[in-house]
Amino acid sequence: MRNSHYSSVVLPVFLLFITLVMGGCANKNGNTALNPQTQTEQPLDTAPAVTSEIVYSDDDGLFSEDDDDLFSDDTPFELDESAEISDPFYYFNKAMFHVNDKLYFWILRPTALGYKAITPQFFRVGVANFFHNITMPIRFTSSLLQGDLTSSGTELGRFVVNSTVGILGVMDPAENYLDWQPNNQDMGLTLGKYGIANGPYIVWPIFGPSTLRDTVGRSTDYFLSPLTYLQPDKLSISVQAIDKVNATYFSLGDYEAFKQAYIDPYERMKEFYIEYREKKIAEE
Amino acid sequence: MFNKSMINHYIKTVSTLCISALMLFSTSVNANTHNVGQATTLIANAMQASLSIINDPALSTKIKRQKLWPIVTTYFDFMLISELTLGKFAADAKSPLGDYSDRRFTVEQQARFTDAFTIHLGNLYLDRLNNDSQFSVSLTQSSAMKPIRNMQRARVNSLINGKTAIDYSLRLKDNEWLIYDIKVEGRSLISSFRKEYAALLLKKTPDELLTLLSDKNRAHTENNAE
Repeated sequence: MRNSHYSSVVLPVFLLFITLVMGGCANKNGNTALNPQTQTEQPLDTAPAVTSEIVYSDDDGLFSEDDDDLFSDDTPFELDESAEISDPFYYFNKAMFHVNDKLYFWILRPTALGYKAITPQFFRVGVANFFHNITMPIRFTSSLLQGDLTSSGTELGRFVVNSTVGILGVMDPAENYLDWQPNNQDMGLTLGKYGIANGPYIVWPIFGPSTLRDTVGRSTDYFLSPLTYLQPDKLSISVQAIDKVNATYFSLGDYEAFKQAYIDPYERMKEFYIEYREKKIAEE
Repeated sequence: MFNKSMINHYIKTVSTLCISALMLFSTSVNANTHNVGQATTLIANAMQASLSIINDPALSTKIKRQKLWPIVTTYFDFMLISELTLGKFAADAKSPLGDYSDRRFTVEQQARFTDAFTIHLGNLYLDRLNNDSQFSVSLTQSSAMKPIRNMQRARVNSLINGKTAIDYSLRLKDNEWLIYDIKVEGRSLISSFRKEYAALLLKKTPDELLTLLSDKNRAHTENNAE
């Protein structure tokens, strides 16, 4: 499973539940950090001026306009096939979904928990920073091919600063001190920005949800990643396995929450993946 | 045509009407903004009440679950959440379902769905209690939404860790504000489940969906049995 995608797909779901009651928080000292009166970024409860009409905020779209029926309209209920996601490899995909599920619960999760037990948090953050830094060519090339010179320049600058001042990318002074924000572009998104459609949905073992377009993009990412060229091959595989386990630590519990939330997690994963990628492509 | 006293009377009447209308309107605006303020206070109170339990190191996860459950049921309008989640399949919905007319929930089935769905949502939240992540939250804005079915509505926006947008939708019911939806980064809790259950109800009956949901809740109870 692709962690960056995967986490992004399941994180909103996880947050939905974490906020069911706790819109609240604790600071590092365990003190409540909520003070609506002092922490507002915009005035709360701003009283509208007495004008000819009240200005309402955008609706949440959950109700129909009809006062008598929440869901009133005159059209009989029909299947909306336009929203269907192409899934010609359904049986293969579903099998792979279950394979990945078992891989997660039997291997990846226990390994990540063991890894958590023997490593301190600063070490894990450092490892994540290192792997993010070393895969800069993927993001740099993607941004460049998208014509986003600002982002590609930022990526290059981040790489130079973090590889030197940040001790081989273990630290992230570029973000912490220079406010140079990283991006998460890849070649799949680049193809999407060129107007290439998803194509059929595919679930790969280990890498998880994808599409034909994103699979082509991922193949390109593979050749752009310096980790691919580590020799011997066993070293390359081992290093990428460490990256995988480390990334899994940061999303522990997310997949469990996602799976618990839905009756048909396969269909929801497919839908969330496609939505997430479309949203990323639509971003300026 | 008009004598002076008539004109005076007319002016006085019109003035009175104008002032009355203006006062009435001002009152409605004030009531409206006052109510939005109440909705904001409710969210703040919900956060405070939850945090006092979540941050208490003396409480075990099990005790925290027990103490938080009443808060969940106090602040959330599960009846409306269930109705909105079922959408066109809800008992009171009148939209024709065509070939799927047998998939409309009865009042009794919807009551069972509300019970099961409430437990389901509660489990999803409470399962995260042993997570040791730290959160910071700030309320950023509150606003009124257009009333529907004579129901006052409000939205309260907040930020988690300064970057994740969480928006609460609330409605006024019996002079109390209750939460009926949460949006995280624009993704609505209700919309997510509405989509899933609508897709399931094309293949399964309401009773079959209820069985699936109950099985999920039962499995959760068994997995968490000590």
